[in-house]
Order: sequence, then structure tokens, then C-alpha cells
Amino acid sequence: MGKADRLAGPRRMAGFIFAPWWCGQVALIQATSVLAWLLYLYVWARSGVHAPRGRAPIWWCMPGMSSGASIGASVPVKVVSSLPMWLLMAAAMMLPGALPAAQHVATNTFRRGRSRAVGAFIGTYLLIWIAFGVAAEMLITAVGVAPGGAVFAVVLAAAAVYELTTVKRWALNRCHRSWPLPPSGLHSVIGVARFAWISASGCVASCWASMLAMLAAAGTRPLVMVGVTVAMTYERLTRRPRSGRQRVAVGYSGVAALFLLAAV
Amino acid sequence: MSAPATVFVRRDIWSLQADDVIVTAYADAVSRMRGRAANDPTSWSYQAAIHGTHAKPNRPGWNGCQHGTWFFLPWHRMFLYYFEKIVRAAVVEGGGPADWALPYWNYGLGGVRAELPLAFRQPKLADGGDNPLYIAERAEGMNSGAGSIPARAGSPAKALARPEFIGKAEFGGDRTAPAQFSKSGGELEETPHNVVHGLVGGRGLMGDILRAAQDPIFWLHHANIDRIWSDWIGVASHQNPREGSWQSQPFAFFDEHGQPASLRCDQVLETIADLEYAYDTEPSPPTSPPGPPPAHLEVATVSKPEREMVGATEHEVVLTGEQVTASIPIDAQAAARFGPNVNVYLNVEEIAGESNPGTGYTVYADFQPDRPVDAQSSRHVGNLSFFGIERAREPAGDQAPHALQSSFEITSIARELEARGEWAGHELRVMFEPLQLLAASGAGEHSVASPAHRDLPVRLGRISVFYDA
Repeated sequence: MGKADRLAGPRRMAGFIFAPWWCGQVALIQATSVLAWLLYLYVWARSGVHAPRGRAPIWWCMPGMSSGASIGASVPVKVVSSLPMWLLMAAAMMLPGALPAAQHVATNTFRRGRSRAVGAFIGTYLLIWIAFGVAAEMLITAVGVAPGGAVFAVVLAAAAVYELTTVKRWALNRCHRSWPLPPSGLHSVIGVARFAWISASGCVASCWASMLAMLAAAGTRPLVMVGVTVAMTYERLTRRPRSGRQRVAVGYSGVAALFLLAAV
Repeated sequence: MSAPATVFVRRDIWSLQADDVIVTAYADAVSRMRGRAANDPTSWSYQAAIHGTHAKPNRPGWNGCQHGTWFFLPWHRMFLYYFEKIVRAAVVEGGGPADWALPYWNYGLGGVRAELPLAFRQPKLADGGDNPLYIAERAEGMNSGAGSIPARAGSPAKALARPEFIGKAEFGGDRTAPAQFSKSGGELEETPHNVVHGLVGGRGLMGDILRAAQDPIFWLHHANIDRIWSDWIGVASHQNPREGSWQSQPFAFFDEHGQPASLRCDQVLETIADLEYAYDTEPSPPTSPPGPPPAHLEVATVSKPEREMVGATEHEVVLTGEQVTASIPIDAQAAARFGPNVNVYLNVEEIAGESNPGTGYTVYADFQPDRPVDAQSSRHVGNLSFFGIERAREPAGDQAPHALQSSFEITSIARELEARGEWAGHELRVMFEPLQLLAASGAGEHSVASPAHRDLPVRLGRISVFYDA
């Protein structure tokens, strides 16, 4: 493979995400994702997860971490208090990979109904990711494992193995699926919601292991978030999904090995 | 550029007798290649697998064919070029002519020429031996000669009339990355290529993208497609893509010695000068050589054209081998923006099915049941076929899944309806009529394949109309 071929994937990904879209609704999704990243980093910096004197209120609880004001809170309180951060994380991490699907919705809708259709799609899509977040939060609380280097390394290694399974391939295929969208009326709303369900459920099934690995990271979480987002978006946008999954698996394995060595 | 010393001439198979040395040498070479080890790149099975195969694991070069993409034509030209060299070497090995060239099957001429060539029909040769060119797994009526390719399926007229190479409804297909089965094939790929695959193979070899090249008639069919490309580019105003991403794209094959070889698209544009072959119908060369590519072309590969939906069906349409009509409500508000530079496309989207049913369909726009048959033919916008449908959702190799889609330009019909005040706010009726083999006169007790495929329904997720500026 030549250098040009090797660079084609990342260049295409960057070109896709930052392309001058003719559709304003998709541009809005891009902007929302950028804003979510900035807000997340701001909140993380003030949350006290990485510093002993955090000043964030309870409703900014970091998912997967008992920190700050949420220490000692009941499970329902923890779950509810982590919802705003889950929303931010989902918007930051998942929206770049959802751009092709959002574009599909925008293109296949009458111009006058485009905002409503794209809004319904993104709303449903994020809702499904937040539901996953709640489930993950409850699982982590139930297991009672504190995030940290060794735990992160083990979960990331498991995520690397998952990348190579047929279940992952099936899930990523589902994530890629398009769906016929009725042009107007109630049928249109139902069609968009159904498409969002297919797309998001495929993405959850495809990326749950990566997300759990990200939750298992402690002080380096923003960095891990960036890495996982790049990996997930790359897998979703690359034209070579099998090679893409293999590359992500190799990358995850390498990072897991480094963290394991550091922990030992 | 100087002319090569030798030019191999590809001839019309129907201009040759069944016992012509070109035909018998081909049969002998097929037999020789079938006798080679499966891991020999010059063997019949290996060459067929380069196009596609269900066998696993993948060997070098397997499943390399390009469909639904703007690489469809150059990839198949390269494939035929190396295959022809391998066959020629086998022909010479068997004492055949050193100037052997692959014949082509020009079914588009109609009449007897639209029937399967005689040498491919009989299971046994005159000496009682097996006929290497005979394949039992063809559509009913093909081997018996009872059926022939209908003009609507075999004629390249619609493809030859397309002014541009690049585009879904244009001659050569839209821009895509290299892919065994993408979703942006051109007019020539759809008709006659895909449709003839289905009509000849039915649910047999030629109808299956991963087994098609096992049938010896496959190569003559593709030589014809390649010849049509030569015809199209022979028109002075026609141009092949000049973008670097197309011109510099290489593809890998094996030569007659079984050694890896590769060619780029820009190395196969002149059949005589670059590849040393010509067709016996070779048209005059273009009157003027193409100039340098304009600077804006590379930019065009990343820009998104303005597309706007103006109508779509609410529900899916299911095809099972019978005539089906569907009505598309054309939205009054969206359709009002019908400027002079707007092209109108009819899209059949989200086409899904378990496998190729072997039946294609002619598509009519603005179908009126009470219109005379002659007038109805002016509403024939193209054909729909399902060659490779099973690969769309579950692509082989390292490719992303996608839905199958066909596009037809209907600008002139839309403008006519608009002039009559029957466009915006009205319904566009679309009709799908099954394509089947024409029953030849004197077919006797032999029948042709039925178009019915209730056991393999094909679902058209949506039929839509788009404006594209």
C-alpha cells in the first residue's frame, strides 16, 4: 500500500467531517459536537475528578466515577446526576459518526421538513445513547470497580478483542444501514425514528466495549475520550471497515499494553 | 504514438462458424485451463475467482471485480486483457493460432444474434466429448435457443446516448472508491451489462456475481461491453474521466506466465496503442485529442451538488415477476423550483432481496394504461436488474454495506408534464414490467424462463423523484 493510500482514509475522514455542507442542519450538528467537546472539557476541568478541590455541583457528576458531591449518594441519584454529562459525552463523541446518517435524513426529506426530520433523528439517536449510559452507570455501580490504569487496560484489551468478532462486524454493518424514509406526515416521523433506532442500536452494539473502556479511565479520561472518538468515527466513515476494525484493535492493544506496564 | 506491430482483432462470434478455429481454440483453451491446479493463477477457476468467488480463504487477486462504480469499465478491460493473454498462450500451447483474440457477443443486434451463440449450447461435441463452452446452469431457453435477448435488454442505445462518463445515470458510473460492489453504476453497467447477466444466467452462474466468470460466455459478454465503451469514446464530444483519482488508480492481475501484473486506468484508454487489440467494428478515432484537464475537476470530486427531493412513495413496492405500478405524489411546493438548468431523476432506492431472482424489469415513467403501445415506449426510461443484490448488504471482502439504488434521468418527461400543467401537485405513475427472454420462432417444445420469482421477492424501499442542479 502506498503512502497516498495510507493517507486516503484519514484525509477522507477529515474531509467528510469538515466538508462545507450545503445542508444547514448537518452543519448545526457539527457545531453542536464541537460545543459539546468544549463544554465537557470545561466541566471536567472543574469537576474535581482530577483535582482534590473540585467545585462542580452534583448534577455534573462524571459518569462512572463517584466523586465530588456524589460520593455517598444512592444509585438512582448517581444515575440521574450523571445524565447531563452523558448527554454532553454522547453529543461530543457520537455526533461526528452520525453525520452520514443525518445527511441521509436531510437529503431524503422535503426541504421544508428537513429541520424537524434531522432534529427527530438526532434526538432519538442521542436518547438511545443516553439509555446506554444509564445502563453502563448502573453496571459500573453494581460491579463497584474503581476506575484506574489497570482496570482501563483490561477493559481496553477486551474491547480490542471485540473489534475482531463477527458480532462487531454485524453491529457495524447495522450502523451503516440506510432506510427508506417516507416523505411527509406521520409516516415520515415514524420512518425517521425507526432509522434512528436502527442506526443508534447498531452503533451502541458496535461501540459499547470502547465506551466501557473510556469509563474505566480515570485521570486521563479526556485524552481517552478523544482517542475512542477518533477510533469510532474512523470505523464508521472508512470505506474499508475490516481493515479499520483491525487497525483499531491493534491501537487498543498497544495502549492497553502501555497502561498495563505502567500499572505493574 | 506509433502503432503496435501486432493488433489482435476481436471478432463478432456470430460472424464465425461454430467450428471456426477461433471458437474451437477457445474451447480447447478453456479445457486446458480447467485442467490446471486451482492455485495456478492461469487456471480457469483462479481467473473466475479474480472476478468473484464464494470460496474462502481469499487468495491474491480474488474478488477484485469492480461494480457499481466508475472503475467498472477500466477494471473489466484490464481483466479481459490479461485473460485474453492467458487464453492465447493456452491456444498456442494447443497448436492454435498465435493471433487468437477473444470474440464478442453482440446481442444488441437482435434477431438470431440475440440468441446464445451455437458453440455454447450443446453439452457434447461432435466427437462425443464434453463441450467446454457448455454450462447447464443458464436460464431456461438459453441453451435450447428457444429464447433470445430482447432489444430493450440488449440494446446499448440508451447508454451510448449519455453525454457524460461520470454520474449515476451517465455512461460510466459515479465517483466511488474502488469496490467490488458499490452503488453508483452507470447506464452501460445497468443495460445491457446487468440485465444480460440476469437473462443469460437466470439463477445460475451468470446471474451470480461471484460465479459469473465461470461461464465461458461471460468473457464474450464483457468483450461486447468493452466494445461499446470503445464505440462511445469514438464520439468526439465524449471523454473518459480526467481526474487523477480515476486515471492513476491501479488494479492487480496475473499475466500469461502466472506472474503478478498491474495496470492503471490511464494505461488502458487506447485499445490499439495501449493494449494492442481492436474490434472488427472499431469506430474512427476522435477528431481531436483531449486537452489537459481543467483545474476545477479535482475540486469537483469533493463538492456536493444541490439535490432536492420533490416526491417519493410512502410505502415499499414488492416485485415478484408481475407488472407493478406505483404513484409518486410530486410535491407542489418542492417541485415549483423547476429552473431551466435542473435535471430530474427517478430513483429506485433501498432495493433489497436475498439474491438475484434472474428477472429484470423495464421501467416506464408517466405510465398511462390507456396509451397506445408505440407512445408508451417513449416513456421507457431504462431497466432495473438485480445482479449483485446479495452483495449489497453483506459485501465480500473489506467493504462497507450499502443499499442498492438505480437512477434514471426523466428531465424531458418532467418538462413535458410541466408544460401540460401535470407536474407539480400531480402524481407521476411509474410502471415496472418484467423482462424475459424473447421466445424465438420455431422454438418448438422448448420454453423460456418464467419471470415469476415469488420465492425471491425484491423490495423497492422507496421510489423518489429528485431535482439535481
